[in-house]
Amino acid sequence: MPMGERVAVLGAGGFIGNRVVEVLHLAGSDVVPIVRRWSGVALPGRFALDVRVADALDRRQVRAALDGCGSAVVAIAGDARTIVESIEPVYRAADDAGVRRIVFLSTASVHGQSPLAGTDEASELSDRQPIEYNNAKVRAERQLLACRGRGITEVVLLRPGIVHGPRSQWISGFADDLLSGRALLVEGGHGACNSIYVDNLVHAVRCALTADDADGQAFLVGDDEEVTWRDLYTPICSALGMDLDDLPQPGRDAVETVGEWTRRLRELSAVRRFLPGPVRAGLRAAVDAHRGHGVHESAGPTVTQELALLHTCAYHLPSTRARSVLGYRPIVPFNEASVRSVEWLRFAGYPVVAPRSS
Amino acid sequence: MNEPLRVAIVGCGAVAHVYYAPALAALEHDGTATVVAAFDPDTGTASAFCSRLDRARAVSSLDAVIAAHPDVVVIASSPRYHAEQTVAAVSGGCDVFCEKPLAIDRAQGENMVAAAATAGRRVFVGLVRRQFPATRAIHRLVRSGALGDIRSVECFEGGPFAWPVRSTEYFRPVAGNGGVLQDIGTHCLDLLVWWLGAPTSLSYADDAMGGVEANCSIDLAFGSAQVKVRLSRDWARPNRYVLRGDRGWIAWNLENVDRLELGFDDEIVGDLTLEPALLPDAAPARGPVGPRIPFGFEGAFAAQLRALASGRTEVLVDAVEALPVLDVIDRCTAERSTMPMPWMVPDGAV
Repeated sequence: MPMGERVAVLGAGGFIGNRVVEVLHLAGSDVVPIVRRWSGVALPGRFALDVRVADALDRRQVRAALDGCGSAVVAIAGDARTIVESIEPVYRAADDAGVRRIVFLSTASVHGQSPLAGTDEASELSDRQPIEYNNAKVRAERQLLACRGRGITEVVLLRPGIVHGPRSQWISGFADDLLSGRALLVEGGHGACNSIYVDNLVHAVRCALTADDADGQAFLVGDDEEVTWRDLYTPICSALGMDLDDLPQPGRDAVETVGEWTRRLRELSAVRRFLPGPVRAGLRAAVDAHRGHGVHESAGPTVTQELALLHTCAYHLPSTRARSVLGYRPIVPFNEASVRSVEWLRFAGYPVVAPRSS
Repeated sequence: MNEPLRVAIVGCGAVAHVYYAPALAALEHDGTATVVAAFDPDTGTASAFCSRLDRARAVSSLDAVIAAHPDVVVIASSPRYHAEQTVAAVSGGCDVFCEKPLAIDRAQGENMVAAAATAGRRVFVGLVRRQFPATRAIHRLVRSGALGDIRSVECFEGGPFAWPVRSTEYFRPVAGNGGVLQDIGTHCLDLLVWWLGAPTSLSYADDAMGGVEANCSIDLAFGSAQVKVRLSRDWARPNRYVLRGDRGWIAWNLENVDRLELGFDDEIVGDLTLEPALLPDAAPARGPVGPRIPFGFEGAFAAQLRALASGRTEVLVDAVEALPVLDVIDRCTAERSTMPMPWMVPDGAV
């Protein structure tokens, strides 16, 4: 971004938004974290920063939060509705505030979890995919480009694949699954993992904030190396003292819908301590009833449709356009990224047995 | 029947709404207490709090609270105001029930205790976890030597921060703190001090980088017991305490306030459900027991206020008992270093 420009980060409490804030701030940029609710201040509050609160669905709140910002990174997480319905108020607020450019965090999943060979940014997108998250991101991209056609603020869309690193669900979720006996590798995990270390993604964001001729375009971004899911998981497995080859390796046809139900119950369980007593009691009863049907949370791994598609992916998406237009070059090698992820697991309280890296 | 206890509250933010309002409403309902005044600098917040109670009236100052002649003032404001407001309340002739932490440091806490003694009033602290059946059982087991000498304790507490705060006040650095240490650290360290006594050594690190910490790590020694504490507003791991002694162990999951896992020499292992108040005299039943009475987190708040109203103050935590944990937090702050975060500094940054 231009020297001295203040950068807003919407979704600063989330995995990617938080890391954007950390990197920009520690690198000396003027960054304004924006979070959805006051409790979201906990992470950006580690720094002496002007943290602002705004509901992304409320144009006036976002406009106020963007005051004085020259550019904005939109890393808003949420359900499908939030992903789609936040686009217009955020764009209009940015336009009202005189924001020069928005960098929007989309996803490579707009091409599906297992894209066909030859897929790139020019490939046609569908919003009738079996996974609703993909459809929401496709619609969000379309809305954003439509808004751009009616406004002045520029937009650049980034499509990262599997974003790994500290606080990534692909790292922590896999570690959690390992520890609870739910981890698996569909067909051995030999499929292509379209990985990007979170710092490489943040580097792509920085490139996208400044690159000429990027307005209105989408860019696939990834790590330098072409890796498999085994490559991603092996360091995590080893760090926790386990062997990847000991994991179940079901076929892609083993998809069980009960796996999705188990996951939802687990997510609810994680927040139940903050729920009112009666709701908590109801949730516990639901979990107990679920267990009563012989599908105890730790009874074993289940294959979701998303996991089956990802682990059997046969194609590495290219970053060619990002390299050409944005000048993007990954700055953290995959092996170094894996070391950093393991060090974060240790920090976060996971039972890492591997010696500390020097 | 005794007159209802006259209660006032100062600070009507998240903890007042989530825990004190329902507890006080229950006490009003059964005639144990009546809430006579509520003060918050945000008058809308105070009015919203009062709307959940029968007779509570929002007032515009602490002086107006005292003028309402409450027997007890509940201090539920930001910790940096606890000392000043408590001293004013006891000087005005009221007892005080102060939300944790008692104060932002030991010196303030001592001033509060001294002011109460001078005024002939009492100050209690909402160290609510000491009301849990599980923590009380651990206290008895450890103090009785049933597990032998305690050799180690490991605990993790926290998760992504979801407390319904309404401003950045909660995250303001106060006297070098205001983060997870002062928040859930007060509870955790108070339990450890209650169970094990004062720590003999301590080292502390956190992840604050100009603001307040979201994560911290504390290594303590209590004589021969080596204790590792990890607290987080950032990431969830199982919220669990594990205590190991020469002859046995205890494991406690924080969400189960009335359950413990217990083992002796790896021979007898049990998952215990504690059933407080099942029998009035806590004696074993001679026949089959009746239905279990669940004891939830909310129940612990109500139990504190009910004890206050009924004069059973021996089950409450006196301010003097809360001074040691302030001492430990002062030591943490004084010893502070930065947690190792080798992934943190971005490539190319200074």
